[in-house]
Amino acid sequence: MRVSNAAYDLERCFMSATILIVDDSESVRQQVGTVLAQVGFRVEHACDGLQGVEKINAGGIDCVICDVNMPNMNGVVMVETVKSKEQNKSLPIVMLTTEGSKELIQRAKQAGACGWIVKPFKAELLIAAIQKLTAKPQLA
Amino acid sequence: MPSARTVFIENFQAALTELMLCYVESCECEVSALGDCADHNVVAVVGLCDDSFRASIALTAESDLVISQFNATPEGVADCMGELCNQLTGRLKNKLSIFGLQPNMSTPTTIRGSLLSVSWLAGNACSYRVRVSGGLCVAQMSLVLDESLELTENLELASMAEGSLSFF
Repeated sequence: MRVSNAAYDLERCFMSATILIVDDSESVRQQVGTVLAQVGFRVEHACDGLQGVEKINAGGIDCVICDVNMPNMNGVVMVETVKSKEQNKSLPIVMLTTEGSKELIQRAKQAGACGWIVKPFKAELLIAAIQKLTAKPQLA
Repeated sequence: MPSARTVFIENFQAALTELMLCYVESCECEVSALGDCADHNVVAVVGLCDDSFRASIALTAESDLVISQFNATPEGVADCMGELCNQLTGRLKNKLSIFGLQPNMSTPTTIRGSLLSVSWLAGNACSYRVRVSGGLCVAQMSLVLDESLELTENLELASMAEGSLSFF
């Protein structure tokens, strides 16, 4: 088990990170996806929190960008649900939303999100944030 | 002290102008008649409410404008319009936070058709024609307000600025 985990980790070190974009707006998913794909990230999409949870629990996601106001399951509840699983504790989740209220930000932080971006996003800022969150440790 | 209604309307206009300038080079915002949607063919509506007020915000435009100025694909015009209206409402919500208001927002409802117009069944509404490079869109807000509502600024309650990033 240990050996296969190590092999899996080693393999992932040489792969570009996979970013899951969770947003009910297809336009936003496309815009964010295009920006990230242009700098080499692999991108997956989910259209609400429920689908986001499914994709995260299926594995292979290195970082999540998540809207807050969505049908079926909102972004903060999605973060709480995802972070309740031990396997997802270290998964970085950044909220990307139109809202910037301190109360909501605090709720997301407590739920386990690691960052907050208020739309409309600046491409260079988003790329820098995701690169920072997905930076892999250098192999000795 | 301005009335709560005045605060809402002033902040709505400011949010509208700021949002448009994120996407287009120039923007002129003028008061227009209610129901004024020219011959627009896409409309998006988002709701905003708490215990003291409820507002509906509608944005209408022509598809060609949404494609040319707001980077929508032809198939994604309604979705893009919904996101714009979502950002407009979110921006208004953020501006209202300094008055201690923490309203809930709905997800956008969008319609694509022909000769669309918006009429309001409740509340007083305000309407703005927004001339941007490439065309015209119309933004309206219908507002039902507790008339005893008084709003006092508290800058410590200010929301994060649009476009900003914060790591926890």
